Amino acid sequence: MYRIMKVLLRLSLMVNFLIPCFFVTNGSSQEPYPNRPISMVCWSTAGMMDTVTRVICKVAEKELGQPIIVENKPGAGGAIGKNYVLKSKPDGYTLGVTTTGTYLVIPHMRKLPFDVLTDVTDIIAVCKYNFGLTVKIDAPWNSFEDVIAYAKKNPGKFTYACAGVGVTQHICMERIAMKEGIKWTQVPFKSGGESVMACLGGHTDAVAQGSIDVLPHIKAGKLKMLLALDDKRWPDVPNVPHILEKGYDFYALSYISFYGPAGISEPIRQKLEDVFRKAMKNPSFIDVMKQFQVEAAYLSGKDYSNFWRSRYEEMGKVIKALGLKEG
Amino acid sequence: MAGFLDNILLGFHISFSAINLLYCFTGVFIGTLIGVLPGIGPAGTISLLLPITFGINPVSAIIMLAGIYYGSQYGGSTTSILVNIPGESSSVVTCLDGYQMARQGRAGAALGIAAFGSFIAGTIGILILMFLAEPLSTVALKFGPPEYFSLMILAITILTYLAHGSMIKAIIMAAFGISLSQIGLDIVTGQTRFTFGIMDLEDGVGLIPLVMGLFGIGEVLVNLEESVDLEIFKEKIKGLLPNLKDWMDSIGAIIRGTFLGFFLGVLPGGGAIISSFVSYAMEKRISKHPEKFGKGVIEGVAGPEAANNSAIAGAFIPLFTLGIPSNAVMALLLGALMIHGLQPGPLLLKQRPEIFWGTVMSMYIGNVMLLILNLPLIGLWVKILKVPYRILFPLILFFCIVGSYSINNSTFDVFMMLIFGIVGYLFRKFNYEPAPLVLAFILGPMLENALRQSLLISGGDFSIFISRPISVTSLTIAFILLLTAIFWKKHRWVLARMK
Repeated sequence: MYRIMKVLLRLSLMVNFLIPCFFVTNGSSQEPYPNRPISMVCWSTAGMMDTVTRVICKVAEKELGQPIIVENKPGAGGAIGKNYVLKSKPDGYTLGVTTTGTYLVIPHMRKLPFDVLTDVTDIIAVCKYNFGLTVKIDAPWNSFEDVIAYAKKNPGKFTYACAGVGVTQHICMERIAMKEGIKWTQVPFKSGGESVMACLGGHTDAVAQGSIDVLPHIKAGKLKMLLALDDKRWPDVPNVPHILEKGYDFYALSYISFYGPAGISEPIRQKLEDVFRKAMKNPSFIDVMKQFQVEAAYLSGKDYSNFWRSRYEEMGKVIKALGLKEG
Repeated sequence: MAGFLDNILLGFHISFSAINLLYCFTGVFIGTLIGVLPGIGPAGTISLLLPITFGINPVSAIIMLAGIYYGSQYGGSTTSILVNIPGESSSVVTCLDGYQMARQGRAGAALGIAAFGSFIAGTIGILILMFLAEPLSTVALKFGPPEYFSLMILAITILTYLAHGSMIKAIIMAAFGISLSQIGLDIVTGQTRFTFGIMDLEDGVGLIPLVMGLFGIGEVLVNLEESVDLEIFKEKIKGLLPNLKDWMDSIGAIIRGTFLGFFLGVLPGGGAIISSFVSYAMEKRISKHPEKFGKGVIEGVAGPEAANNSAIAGAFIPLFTLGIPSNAVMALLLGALMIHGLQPGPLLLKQRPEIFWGTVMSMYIGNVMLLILNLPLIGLWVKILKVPYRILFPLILFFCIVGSYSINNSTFDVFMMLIFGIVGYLFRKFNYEPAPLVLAFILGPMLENALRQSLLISGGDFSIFISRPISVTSLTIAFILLLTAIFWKKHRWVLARMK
């Protein structure tokens, strides 16, 4: 008698556990977005993009009610991380963060397994890098004109250090050279830190890097900036002109932006854009921007998309002219 | 001088606060753990833990993160010695003699000397950091691409000392290593080389999957070829700590390794891995019994372990004095400082001395904690060796697979590791040594980059290498070492013939 009772009890317990399983759906179809954690793929493991992303996501996840997990998938200058995101389901649960270079430069340099023109949904742009051409404090050049004059007289002798080949600041410097008809030599290094050290140690004449790398040394009086490669002067270095003032019609432009695979529904995309936009107003984000000496620069998904698409063809020509296209 | 003492007291005051002691302990504990576990290293862990540091004050954050970093160097040697798997890439060299010592029943002595050597090196390294930070950073700045090139040439000449078998085979391995290192993106043109269209190869073959495969998986495969019931560690465990003779053999190696490691660590890109290799080669070169290296010589463990720990102390110099990170972990620490509103750079020492001194003093405390943590664990680790191999090897494989995946969340790395495991097995069967390959693999890209950067700077003029003092000195030393090695061999050959 008791044995039957025990068996029945066990059976009913099991059924009790099994019944809810029939009511489990995969979430996304029935409940409002988001109803499970979102993954944000970041292709650099240390540095500004990673830090900025983590700060924004920490704020945004409170608003969304679901955790945003930042996953690092480095490699191939961002292509591996981007490929992973673009090949995933466009349900809004796999997002990525990237820089403009992966839209405008790398696709022209080599063949990629995705097409940025068709496979991407832009969500929002959150900040811009600032770039500057700097030399040692005791260098013989005191202005940008001095450097150009020197380069004209000594083709190929002026050397500038840069972190990487085909990066935004490198392209900008080479466009200047093309316009002025001069030749100067880029010496690529693996990181901003190494590039700055090369200049500080007197091994290269100049360094063209972002504000995070050069500003501390400018403030410490070890480097002087001759030209800001942006569309406005740096607030901390107001005496140095920017490139547009000098009559050029281009500047080094790189945004950090969030994106997803093509096909994300517009309501979800808009919701993400709104949430991230709100996060940008959070004091923790503003503080980090100040620390990195970087501009918080909002562009809506649509605006950012138009922005880089309008420059895509032109960049292709520039890359080809610089000889950076593979094959 | 008074200001200096003030700083030291300030540092102690900060580091002895209860909260910072706790953070220090947490950091070194986590560090030891990830050092022991193959695969994920301090860089990956710190980037995972970075968000946690957002809410705490900057000194505590740096104390904890720094603890993770140098803690990992203590733990890394554990698996190298026990199962021939480098827990960290800087522990590769420890596999060479450490594992052999374990097979002879002397795992306890190996682990002990690694712990003590690391402690002594760490302590001395911190002392140098305290007193010579500024002058050394000036020296570091003098190393430009031509100096790096000549230094790498010097390191490659030393490479030949790593081999204890046939020299020809060692050179073949080195050539193979350099060839492997060519896979990836070219630094100057940004073009892909030997990637065969595989995107994952654009960053080159990963170092960690390479060494885990060659050393760890290769070893497992070789052992499996014999009976699975084999007790790999047949010898009775002879004592848990190094004895007096061990100490006398090792103390010289430890001191030499400390200074060598520190100075190599100051140079960006140098770091712990190269210091450990160079220390090993140096010990072998000046030893009275070089032929015993590779068979379980304690200096071969003591020197490299000391070197990789003091290299960590050295790596802090560019970060604190110039605000320039010398490797990926330092870059993360830089990011952590920035999130807390600090701008690392030449002004940091002057404006916020407590960051530097608080961290430095806590490194002393951390080193003591690590010694206390690691020594009793030796008894535990040694017991692991007694587990029957048929249970041990699946666990080893499991940790290796999880470890190699955890580096970049990439299954490609796991795949690479397994391929190199098979390659490592084949090497072993045909008596080729993996160590020269690994060193050449690391040095190859550095050498090539330095060469091309130098030539870009000089406009194609090769005389840049001999017109600069540091560069020409390194090249001369390399040349002398090469000559003496040749004459030495010739001398011994002649002597042998005469007998």
